[in-house]
Amino acid sequence: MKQFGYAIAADFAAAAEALSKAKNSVAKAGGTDLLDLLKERIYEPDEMIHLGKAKNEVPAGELNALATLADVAGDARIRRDFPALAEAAEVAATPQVRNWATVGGNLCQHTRCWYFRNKDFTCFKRGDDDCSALKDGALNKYNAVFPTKECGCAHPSNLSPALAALDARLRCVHPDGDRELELLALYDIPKKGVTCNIHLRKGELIRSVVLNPTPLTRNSTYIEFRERESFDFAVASVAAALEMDGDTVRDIRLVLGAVSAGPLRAVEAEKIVRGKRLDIDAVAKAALKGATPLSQNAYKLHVTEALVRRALTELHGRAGR
Amino acid sequence: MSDDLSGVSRRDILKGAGAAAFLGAVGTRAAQAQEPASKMRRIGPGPVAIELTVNGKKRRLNLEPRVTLLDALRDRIELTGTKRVCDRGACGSCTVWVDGKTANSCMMLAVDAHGAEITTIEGLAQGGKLHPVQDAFVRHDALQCGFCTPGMVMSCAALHEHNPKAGEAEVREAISGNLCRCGTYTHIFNAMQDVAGGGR
Amino acid sequence: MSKQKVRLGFKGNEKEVEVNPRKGTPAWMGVDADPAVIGKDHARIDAIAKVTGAAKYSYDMRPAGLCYAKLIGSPHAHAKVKRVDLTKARALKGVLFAEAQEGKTVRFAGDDVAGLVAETEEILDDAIRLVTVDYKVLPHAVSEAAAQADGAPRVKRNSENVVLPRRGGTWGSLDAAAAAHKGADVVLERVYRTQVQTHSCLETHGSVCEWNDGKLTVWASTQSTFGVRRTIAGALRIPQGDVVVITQHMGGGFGSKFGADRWDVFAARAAKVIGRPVRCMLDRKAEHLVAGNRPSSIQRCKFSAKKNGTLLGAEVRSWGTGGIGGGAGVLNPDIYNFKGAGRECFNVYTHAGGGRAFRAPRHPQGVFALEGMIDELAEAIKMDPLELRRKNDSDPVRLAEYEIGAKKIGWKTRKKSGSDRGVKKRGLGCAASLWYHTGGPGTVVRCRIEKDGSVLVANGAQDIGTGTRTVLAVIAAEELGLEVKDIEVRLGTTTDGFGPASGGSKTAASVGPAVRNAAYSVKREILATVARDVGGDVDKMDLKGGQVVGGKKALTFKQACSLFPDGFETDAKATAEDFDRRAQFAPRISGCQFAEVEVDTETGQVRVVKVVAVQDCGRVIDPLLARSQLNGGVIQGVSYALFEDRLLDPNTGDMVNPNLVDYKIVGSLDMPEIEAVMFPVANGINSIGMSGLGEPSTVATAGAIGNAVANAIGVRIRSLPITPDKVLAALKGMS
Repeated sequence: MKQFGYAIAADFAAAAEALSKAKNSVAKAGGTDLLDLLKERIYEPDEMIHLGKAKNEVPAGELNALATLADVAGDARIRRDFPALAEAAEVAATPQVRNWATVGGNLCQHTRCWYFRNKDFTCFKRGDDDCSALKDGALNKYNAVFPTKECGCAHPSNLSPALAALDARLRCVHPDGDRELELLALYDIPKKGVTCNIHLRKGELIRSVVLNPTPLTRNSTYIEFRERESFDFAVASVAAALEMDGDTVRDIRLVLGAVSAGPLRAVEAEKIVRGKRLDIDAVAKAALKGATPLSQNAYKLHVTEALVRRALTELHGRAGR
Repeated sequence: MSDDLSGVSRRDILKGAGAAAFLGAVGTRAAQAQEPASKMRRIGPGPVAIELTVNGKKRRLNLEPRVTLLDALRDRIELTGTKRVCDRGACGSCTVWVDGKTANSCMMLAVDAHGAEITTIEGLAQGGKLHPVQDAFVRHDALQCGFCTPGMVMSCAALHEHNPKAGEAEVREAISGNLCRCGTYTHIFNAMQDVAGGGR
Repeated sequence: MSKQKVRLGFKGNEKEVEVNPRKGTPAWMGVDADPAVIGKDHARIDAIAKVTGAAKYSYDMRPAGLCYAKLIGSPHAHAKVKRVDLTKARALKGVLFAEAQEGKTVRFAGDDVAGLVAETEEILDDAIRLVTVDYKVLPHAVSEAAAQADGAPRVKRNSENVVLPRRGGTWGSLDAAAAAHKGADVVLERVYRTQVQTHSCLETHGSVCEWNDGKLTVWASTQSTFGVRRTIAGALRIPQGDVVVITQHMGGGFGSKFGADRWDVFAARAAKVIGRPVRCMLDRKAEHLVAGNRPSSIQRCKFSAKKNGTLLGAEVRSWGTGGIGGGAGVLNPDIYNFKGAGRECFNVYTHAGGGRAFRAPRHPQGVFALEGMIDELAEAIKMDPLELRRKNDSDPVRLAEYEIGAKKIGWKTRKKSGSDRGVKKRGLGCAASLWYHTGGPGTVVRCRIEKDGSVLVANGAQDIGTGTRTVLAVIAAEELGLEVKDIEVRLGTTTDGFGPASGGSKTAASVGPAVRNAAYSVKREILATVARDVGGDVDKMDLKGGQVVGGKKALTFKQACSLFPDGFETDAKATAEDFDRRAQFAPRISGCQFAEVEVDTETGQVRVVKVVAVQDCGRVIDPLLARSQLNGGVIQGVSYALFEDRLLDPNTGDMVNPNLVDYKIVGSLDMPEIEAVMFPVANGINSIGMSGLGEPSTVATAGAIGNAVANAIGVRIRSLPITPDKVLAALKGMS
């Protein structure tokens, strides 16, 4: 790591103010993603602003961005009202990481693309002209199956698909004014030289996640597939929510993780069954429509399709109970 | 020149964290920006003074903010039981307890742990008596080269403290962030089953 | 020499042979030996040090004034180092030493181009970023195919990229194998592939070097203290007598840590120049790139059989890469009795880090292909694959082991391949293994007693984590009629007696007989003195249960030792006569493994449910520790079969997964149930009948898993690791 100054923020507003003015500062909460990037010198900040000790009182019913993944996984109310969120948190990373990694950090984490994380390689997101994962012969089995023309990165967050399926909104702090953002609106397409493709203004911080319990959120789930069960990032993940009215689908959310630069809501697939009978195979097929897998990752389509079927079968079963 | 972190009142600056998920803090959002500068405590980038409580003993250290807790423990306090292996939070060999929670000390800065209670492998045995998990590891040969062992023990002991009757599924989950290259897992499961059953 | 008859073998298959114990050495143990301490579970004697963090590894040594060193690796797989600018790094306060390798041609990513020493790790980190290197990047070839393509760049100046090594490149006769296909009912030609696996020792390679009065102390993370002493003295051109190598504990070697490496020599040189101790331990990335690996293999197999299950011909041609190193041979098809068999193993040089010995070199990769072929033949002639093995295997030990393993895995329940219903399909598979009796002469062990009854056993070799320290204590306790806790063991310092490198599973089987000789010699001296001073017939006396028994008067061990006011010691050597290869019961060490897997046919995930490993363990010294080693071999085998893969980007030649996140090693949640069955064989190879255990238990695992996967899904994956993408591709290709 390069030498850096360290600032302890008393609260988020102060941190946002400082970050918005700083030339080369980074914000850190749990630090479990950031330290990795600092050690690789992908970031070489002059100053680190530590949020972990900031005062961040949030209204009842909102999820504090500083809550750890372990807090989320262990919260009985979350498990009851937003099971997809609890399920996503409890399978993330490792027990040690879950004790410190925060909700905000998980949403803003960087892609696991190994070409991004190693400065020996060229990377569009790090400012190079081309993406090493898109080249002929590239090793891209874990990359996106919905890549852009310029970048093959996939977003690794567990919480983002889950929160998207739960219609979560993010409450953000910025000196120019606080705002609320839909979860999916946080994610941008990859841009040259933008290491983390999120739509936050310079210095803007996620303070909390706004969630409203509904029959739809209460019947939600998150499942992921990893090559290795013990600490691995998802090859594919699916978050879904389903509300039935007899045999009819009253409402549905279906969000795919690890397939593109951000969580991908399968809007067209949802439409096929909303207000109609649940046809799981049809949804699963439609969910991946338009995918353009890379040279080595077409298998991810099969995996994702299977996960969609499993998630919906599970929710349909739960709805019937 | 060194900034001093330990001199200021920790109550003012270092508290207010650890907001558990839905503790339902009623009321207002934190007051809007008053005078942000006063709300930022800036130290470094050179050496700063911090204070850690390591295995019950207060330690004052002078180090740069970029020094990880792992390096502080190994190179400054010379507690070398905590191992550096992957240096990226993937293997658990550097596992310590920070305020009672397991942490990868390679992925935490020493300054982050200022004021915290740290327990390392050297501090687990109390009064010359092995922790039940350590004792079971010895009896079941839950180790080979021993390099992953301190981290494994810290993860298993943390589980044991929270759930003394943990079954194999919980043990597997608890050490899913700890890698062993020699392949001792089977004996670790045996040892932990023994501990859950009340020892020998 | 006095002749002794000893019964060898195992229950149900014994034979009597004559051996010649050397004068002054103990009688040999046969099947009927009933030792009191050997063969019982004993906790590892350094376990408490390891569970409390007190055990000091080389990485933990912190002599006063310690400085930190690092070699800077090239990001290019093939390049000429035109210029290295160290000016800025040297100017940084706290940088103590810097040197560059200008003009060097780097031949793999990670190959060192400069080295630095600094007072702290943080300064070192900064200094590294201040070094600028101008490279002339040259074309590279990092895959077997690229290195064999027309116009491929040459990896080695004096060699073609593809070579048939003079030693070990060929075995048997390919002509005889081809001729043996005649009359076959089935001839199969298949290609099997195995990946490059890195050792991934948890303690990385490296050492701490300190000079005092012209003498060098090296705390090395090594599996050969004497090997490091020899090689570092050679590299520095100083007498070996001026070097002491110390390895008290070390965090894994697996075949990759035999001698001093470039970084050790750099640390020693730098330490001398700056007059302070220097530590140079590799970081995780370098550990993957430069510190060795198990070479890959592409095995073209042509096997034939008759319908009645007679194996006929086995032709094996393999190509594998150990980067700039060799060692890419495979053990295929040695295990079975073919009418004609032969192989050629080509080394393919590539621009990648050099291969090194890795736990049973050549064997797991060969057995994966061999056992796959045997199963494919069985499938083709519609014979139970275990039956086909039994029919063509004449090893009495393995034939007995098959019975045990088959029963424990429930082989009778094995279904026709691909016939399991449902999304998640289960399957069973088995594979055989062989290893060798590798213990040998040369080890010198000191056994010393004190007047107060203290016992010290000392040797200069290391314990790489297999439990050598404990094995010494157990054997000494056995011979002296004591308990393990009564024995102090000193290991790992080259000022003590010579000991072997821990490789080829030979440490225990080499050191063990020497310990026994030393303790026996001490015992004889104690008994003779008791007989003389207290009375009794020395030939009727013995040390047992902490007592001198059979003498005129009951004495405790301690009382007997008090007859030696200054204590005494014996240095005993294990000589060539202490290893009798003619007296062996079986010429090789045999084993077999059975695996049950579950394959998720929608995600392609393979889960290993259970592995039964039945292994010839010779005479087991400490079953508790032996089981640890057997489990470890299986677990590394599971990891090799399903996860590990060193991936080199073909465009840059650099490794994309040089960490422990993307280089995947099996973890707790992927762990199968493991049943390790020790099959004891009195083998007559040495006075105890000890064999090595480290390697044999990892040989068969991937083969058994590969066969179980094929049995589960009805399609065969002929490429390791068996990852979901390959499973899905195979399944989709079928439908």
